Amino acid sequence: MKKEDLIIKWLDNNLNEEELRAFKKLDASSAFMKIDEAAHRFGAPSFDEARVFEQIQQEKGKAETKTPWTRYVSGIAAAIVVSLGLYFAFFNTTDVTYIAENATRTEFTLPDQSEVILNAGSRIVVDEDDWSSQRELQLNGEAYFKVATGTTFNVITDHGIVSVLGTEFTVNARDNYFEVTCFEGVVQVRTDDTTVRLPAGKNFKIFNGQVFDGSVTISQPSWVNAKTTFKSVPYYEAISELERQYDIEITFDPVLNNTLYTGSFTHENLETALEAITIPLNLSYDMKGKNVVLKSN
Amino acid sequence: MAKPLFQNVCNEQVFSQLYKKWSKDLYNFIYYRYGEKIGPEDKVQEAFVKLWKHCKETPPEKAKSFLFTIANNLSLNDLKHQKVVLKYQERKPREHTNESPHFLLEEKEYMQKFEKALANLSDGQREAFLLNRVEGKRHKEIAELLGISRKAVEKRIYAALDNLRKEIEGI
Repeated sequence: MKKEDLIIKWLDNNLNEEELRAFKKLDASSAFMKIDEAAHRFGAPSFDEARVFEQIQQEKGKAETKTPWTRYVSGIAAAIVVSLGLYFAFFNTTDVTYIAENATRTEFTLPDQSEVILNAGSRIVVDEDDWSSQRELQLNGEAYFKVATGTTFNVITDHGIVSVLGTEFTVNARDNYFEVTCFEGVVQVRTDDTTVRLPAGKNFKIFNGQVFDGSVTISQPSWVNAKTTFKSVPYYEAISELERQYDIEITFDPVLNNTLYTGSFTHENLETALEAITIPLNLSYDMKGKNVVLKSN
Repeated sequence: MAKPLFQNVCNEQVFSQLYKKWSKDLYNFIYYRYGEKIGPEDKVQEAFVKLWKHCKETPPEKAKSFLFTIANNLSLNDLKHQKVVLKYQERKPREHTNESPHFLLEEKEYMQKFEKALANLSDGQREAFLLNRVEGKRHKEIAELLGISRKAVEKRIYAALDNLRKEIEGI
């Protein structure tokens, strides 16, 4: 392939592995990648959609010169529209819920062939009938997405909205923890305070009200292959994940809550997993049925 | 042939749907083309108000090109041929920093060179390049947005990349 074509394909995030190797061999490829990284810092400030719309509505009001009776009629029309809207909102929903209980994992395909793997203790709600006009779903918990190309794909969580156009990524939205990792393409994360663009290989975490940037070298989340890997996460989150994977309850000293944990555990052997999560912190464990107590040595 | 449901955009619902669909793209289009100084949000607002004033003669499928043309013309009227300079964002502090002051200084110099090189691109090149790299839009999508061919988009983005490298490296 010609050098120029190779670069153009790279610019469209469209290289296969072999082509990517060829691209990396180009003299200028490191300069290009540096340019790419720097370009991300020139993003437009976030656009205040709601505020501008309100101003437009005000300006529109000035522009209108309606006689009183048309106002009356449009009032009735608006009332009909609103009641129809409410009717459809409450009586005509076609929401489908996918659930992965503790100690299980669920895989499913969305109407546009996008693939989703739902990790233990997680739930997704999708309006499948509306899917063709709006690719949007609600996530509570953790999931891996392989999105088919098309219009914007939104994952709505309590912590913020993650938007993408055809790419691979994971979202983990738990009570006190939010993490997004991008494996291919670009995703945008929008929370109440900030908007971040994540290129492939980058991740983004929020816990204890703080934002952390990081990067990953893997090409798929490890939990897809029955293993969970952590890098600098609060200990309570590692413990909660272990509880979800084995459907057990763990008690431990809350002093450890915010200790950062880096490591991994398997989903296939509880004892090995417990060792993996206790030994690095110099702890031992005591198991009775579904209850585990961690103690310091 | 199926008759379109709405003949024009004089309907609040149609109008607000158009707003939802196009306002962000329109904002980015103006921002990357003309920069912050021009007031991209104001241009979006003016264009939509104009659309409402002309709603009777505008069928929904023509609304997008109406909006983009109006916003572009409004900006051109304001722009007195000054250079468009986009500002970069300062980085957030990292989880851990092992970056030396020397590295940080070098990085700052690089970003300043980048900013200058970006300002030297043509409006069309800068816009296509940033929509692609920053907004993550595919070449095909940019072509549809700007109403030009995909080949033209590729040419612009490639030229932008090439020019940036040459200017930054001082080749």
